[in-house]
Amino acid sequence: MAAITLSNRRIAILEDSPTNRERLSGMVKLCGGVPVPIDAPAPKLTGLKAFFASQHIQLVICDHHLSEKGDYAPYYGAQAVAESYRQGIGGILVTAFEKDDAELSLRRFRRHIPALIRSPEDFDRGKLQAALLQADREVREHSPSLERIPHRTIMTVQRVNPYGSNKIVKVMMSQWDVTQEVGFPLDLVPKELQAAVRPGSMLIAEVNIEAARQEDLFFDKFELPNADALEKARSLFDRP
Amino acid sequence: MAKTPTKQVQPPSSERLRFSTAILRLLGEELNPSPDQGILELIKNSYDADAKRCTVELKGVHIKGGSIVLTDDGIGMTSEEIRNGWLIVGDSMKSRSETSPSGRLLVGSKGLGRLGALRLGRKVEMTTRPKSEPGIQYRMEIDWAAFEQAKVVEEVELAVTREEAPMGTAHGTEIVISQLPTPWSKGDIKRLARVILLLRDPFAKNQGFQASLRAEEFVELEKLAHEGYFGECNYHLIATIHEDGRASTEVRSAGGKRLFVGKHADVSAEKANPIYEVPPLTFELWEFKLSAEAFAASVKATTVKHVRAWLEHFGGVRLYHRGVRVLPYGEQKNDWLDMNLRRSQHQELRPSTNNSLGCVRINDPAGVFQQKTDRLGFVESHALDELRRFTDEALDWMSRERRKEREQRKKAAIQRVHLEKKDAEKQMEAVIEKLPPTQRKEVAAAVKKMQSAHDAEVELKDETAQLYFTLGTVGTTAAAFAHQTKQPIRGIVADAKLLEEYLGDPQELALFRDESSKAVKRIHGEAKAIYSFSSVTLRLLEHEKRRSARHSVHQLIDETVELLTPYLEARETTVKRDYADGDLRIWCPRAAFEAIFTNLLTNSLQAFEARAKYGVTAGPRLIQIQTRVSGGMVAIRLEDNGPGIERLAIEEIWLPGKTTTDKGTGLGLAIVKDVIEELRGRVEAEAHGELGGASFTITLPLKT
Repeated sequence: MAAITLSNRRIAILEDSPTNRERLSGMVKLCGGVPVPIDAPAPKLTGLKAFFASQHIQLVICDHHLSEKGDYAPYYGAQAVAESYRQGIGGILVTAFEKDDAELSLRRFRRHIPALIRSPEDFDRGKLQAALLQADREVREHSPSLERIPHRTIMTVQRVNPYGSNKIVKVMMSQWDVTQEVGFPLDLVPKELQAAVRPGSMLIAEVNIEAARQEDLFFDKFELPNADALEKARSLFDRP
Repeated sequence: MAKTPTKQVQPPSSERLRFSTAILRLLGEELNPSPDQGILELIKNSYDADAKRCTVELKGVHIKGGSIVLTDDGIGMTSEEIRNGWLIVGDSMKSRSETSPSGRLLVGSKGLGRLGALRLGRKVEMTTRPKSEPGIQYRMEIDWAAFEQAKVVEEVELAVTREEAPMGTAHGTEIVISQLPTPWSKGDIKRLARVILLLRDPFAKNQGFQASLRAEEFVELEKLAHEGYFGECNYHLIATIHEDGRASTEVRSAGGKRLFVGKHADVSAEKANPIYEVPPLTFELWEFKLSAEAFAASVKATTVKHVRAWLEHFGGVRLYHRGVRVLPYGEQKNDWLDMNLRRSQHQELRPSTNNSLGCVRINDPAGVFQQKTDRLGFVESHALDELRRFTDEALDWMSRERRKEREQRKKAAIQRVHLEKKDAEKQMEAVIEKLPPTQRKEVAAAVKKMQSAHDAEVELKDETAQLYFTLGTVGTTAAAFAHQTKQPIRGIVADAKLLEEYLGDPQELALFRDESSKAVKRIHGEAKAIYSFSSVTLRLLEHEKRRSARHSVHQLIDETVELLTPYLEARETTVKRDYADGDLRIWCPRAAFEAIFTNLLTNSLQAFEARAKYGVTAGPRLIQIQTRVSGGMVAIRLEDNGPGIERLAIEEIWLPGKTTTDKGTGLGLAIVKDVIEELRGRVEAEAHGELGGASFTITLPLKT
């Protein structure tokens, strides 16, 4: 039962639209939690820890775009969830999921976003509750779900596309899906390796390849493959 | 007490690390990905041996068992040089800064390429006549079968025979690789012909070294190369990095006329224009307009078809290091300068690998650039990054100059047409004046009728152009506010789901009665927002707005601000207006003014979002619009307190596709500039105005 599972936990709601804050509060109540909607202006990123402690916050729900309406918060919701992760508080991100967000502002912080709720598709009691509990397990009990466990993965760079002032690297990972390209911002790759990121080159990174949706993938710990790894990869690709 | 046994110490045996014959296969074949690569390495050996000519001949290679014969007129090798150089794999006795006896910087590899080439056949015969021992030749034979039977490489003995050279033979080396295990296809030969031809810049003269392939394919290709359609190019870029790391550039026309000249500060785009940390080099590029119209319009000696075919073979930018080509730069499909990607953003003003040809020449006596062991490209390094930065920035510079030139041409053309029209009108009036009074009236009426028909035609064209500007504005607005317009729909769906949850359980409905009435109220609010947002697009597209008329500037500003009020309010932005006295009128279609202001206001709203993400909180969001009158012109300034223009040079903001925000299309300001120029006005931008954010000043002629 909802009310029992979330057991009146205090859940902070970071959302720039007052209407959406009210909407999310309603859903949190329905899930059995105690909503703590944060009015404008939200605390600075560096002040979140102290704020959460003062409000006895146990979980966090963040909208991704926090500065569409006004100067609610000078950061993305994804950054706030990642920050609360580092402070030991589980959080989920609510987003309308735009493809460009997935490959840029979401991907940058996806490693530390335990769960993502698509709005309005996933906006129901069951999904919200499951996401909050999963976030709590990953952050407090260090027990991530199978889809969130990273594996060392080799990938081939297909293209590097300019996007606004950023660059998106499109890669193929046969260990994840042989048909789908996945993108991430070039600045996720350490500076000293960026010159080697060109169409046709190969990279290794830690990726949660059990994730079903591409917006759930994260990339971490990039490295360039050595000759042995390249040989191995080539033999894999060359296999009929 | 127990007696300690005496240890028998034996002298250590002398052993050596030995290599299995399998290592030859690994080193020779796997490090040389293709046969032509191996042959290229042999040719490079000839170059290092000061040869003037090197010829490759293929004998019966179309069937199994054929052979390859390579002959050069270099300085040959003594028995000592064969033993301590040619036969040592992995050490070619060449240090990176060493030169050949005639002073050539060495280009050969560590002997691995040679090994790969020699293993192309089952047998190799090498005959060399050293320049230092006239009348003498050394001969040796390698039978690879002997290695297959041996366990380690050292077991196989290779005999070097010293003998008298046949009468009349000069110094040089001949290598015959025979009994090729697989036949060569026509495609293999074509590829070899291409790499041999391009090993040295085929378009440069007096190079002192010529490599050729005795094959029909090579002759054809060489002929094609010598046809050289350089005279047909539209732009010839010559960009140089000098000894001090500073750059200079110039662009010439096909006839050699200097079109643009750039200094270091014009090219080096980074802040403070840092020097290029790379050895001196030259980057040359010839760009062609490959359209039938362009060829028809100029006095071209050839057809677009011929040039296109020529570029198919030789297009792309190759890299010549110490005078010899480095693969794979500039190979077909190797767009190492990302020219095609950049062209996709600015179609007309950028070269691509399909419409241009070029080369980068680096002498590099200090050996800063190192080739990879497989000889495919340079090892990634700071110098290579700097080389790419330079080529990118040189191409950017050329694009900027071409844009400036195009705009000047456009302005001059408008001015010329305007003057011509005035002149024609005067002439017509003078002619009419000379007519007898009876005819004068009739002719004047006919001319007036013709003029009004012409004006109607022009107006129709203007309206069509205006429609494109309006549609472009609708597009930029839709892109900028996509999230905003979708948000209320998502809200309604979310509230419907909440209501479903409450209604599903009577107990919960009772518990959440207040919540459910709040949800219903929210749905009403969201529906109202959807109505406001959708009306913006419809109002922009109203037909009668595309007709030119005399309009009040202040009224136009007010109407556009009002039109965008739903977005301005949703983003908590205030617009402050400070107008000059009087009723200022301009001649324009209402839609043109809306296109200018909608794009500028959208630009500010996007900048505010970016402001928050940069971590700048500078109080409430403010846009200020001022009008001032001076000398028959009205100046309209729009500025905001956003983050200003960052990470983009002021002159670049007008370029289509250039944007500083993630969601920007990069089209808004391009439309603004085009529309203002259509209205014979001008626009200037400042990165940081009085309010701290971007500032735009538009000047338009007043219509009294």
